[in-house]
Amino acid sequence: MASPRLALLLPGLGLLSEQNRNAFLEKQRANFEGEIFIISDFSGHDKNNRFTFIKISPAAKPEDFLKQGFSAALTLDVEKIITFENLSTRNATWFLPYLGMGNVIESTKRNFKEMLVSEVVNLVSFGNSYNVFSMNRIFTPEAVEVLAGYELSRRSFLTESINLLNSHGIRTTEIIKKNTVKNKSRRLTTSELAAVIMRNTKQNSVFYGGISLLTYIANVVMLYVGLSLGMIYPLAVFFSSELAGLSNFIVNEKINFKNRGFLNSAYKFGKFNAFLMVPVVLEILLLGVLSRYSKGIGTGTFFAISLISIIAVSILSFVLINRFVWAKRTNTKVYI
Amino acid sequence: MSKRVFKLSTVFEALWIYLIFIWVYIGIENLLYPAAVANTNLSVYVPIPQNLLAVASFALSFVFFILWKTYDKQ
Repeated sequence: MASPRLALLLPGLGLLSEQNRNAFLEKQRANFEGEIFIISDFSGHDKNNRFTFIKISPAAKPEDFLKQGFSAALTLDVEKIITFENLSTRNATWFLPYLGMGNVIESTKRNFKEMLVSEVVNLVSFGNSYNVFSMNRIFTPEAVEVLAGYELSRRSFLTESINLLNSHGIRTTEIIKKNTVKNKSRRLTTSELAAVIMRNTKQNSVFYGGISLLTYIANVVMLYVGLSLGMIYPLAVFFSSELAGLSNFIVNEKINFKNRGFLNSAYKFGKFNAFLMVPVVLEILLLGVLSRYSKGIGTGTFFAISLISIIAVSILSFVLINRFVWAKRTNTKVYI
Repeated sequence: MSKRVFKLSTVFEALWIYLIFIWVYIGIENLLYPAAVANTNLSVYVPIPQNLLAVASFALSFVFFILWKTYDKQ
């Protein structure tokens, strides 16, 4: 079977020092077979004629550069386009049309599993050589073989995994090698490797929603204290954080729906709305307990104002999130 | 309704509790984020670095505790 023609879309390659750039290109040379098109702001010459450099003039915005790069790569008739750029919320919309063409490996941060894989891969594969790019999709079997034997907690996963790899003599910059799986007849797929890591990771070691809840409660407490002292700035902070969270949530969920993401199996109305309502319910319970056991809280106008604003904002977010999320049929499964 | 009498010690009492809550909150946040960051969520309201806020809130809460106890006796 012939190796697929690849195009690497690397917006920041020209920014790297020559040493780091060469180190990174050496990794790619070892990792991929066949001819590789490198679309970047860097133009060079390869001795072995493995790389074909295509230079694009650097754009002011990274998304513009990626857009041009995608267009250029699609004209090259390559089978896969790989980018290492994090296509996060700011760049969320423009690249979605490219995903439907079937030949793009997109590399946005999609869910915890893939985030974990991406981050681990990033740490163990490139180390200092290519830390300009935050996300990538290349998986390293050596790291998995080491990490799979240990129970790691999610909370300190990155630290523990780095220590483990160091203790096994796996240097972070030397880990990508071709076909180093023990059973060479069968290469594990990315999802299998991710599953191996996740299976050996303690699932219940940290509750990531906890910090969000804590932040929300802290915001509400600051709102209450600030209003009771006659300050309206906390109100502005509270509303703006609600708005930011809402818009962030909508953008993230749009991407997740497109890409079969984080809550893909949990997107039933009940679960979905339960997730939304948990902080609100706990907040109201907290205020109820406070007003039950302390004389000062629960009798003033400020309490009423803050409670009403909490409930109003919660209802607004509840309605709007449901409306935005469920309005369009964006939850069709698209797997790349 | 009994008439409310303003006592200075009440202000100090509120302040030391409030500041120790801030200190506790930063502690919890650091437990949740073991790799400590420069800012806390409270930095939105108190725009100073996290470590400074933690030290200051703890020290000031102690000061206000002493003040509360001092003025409470009178």
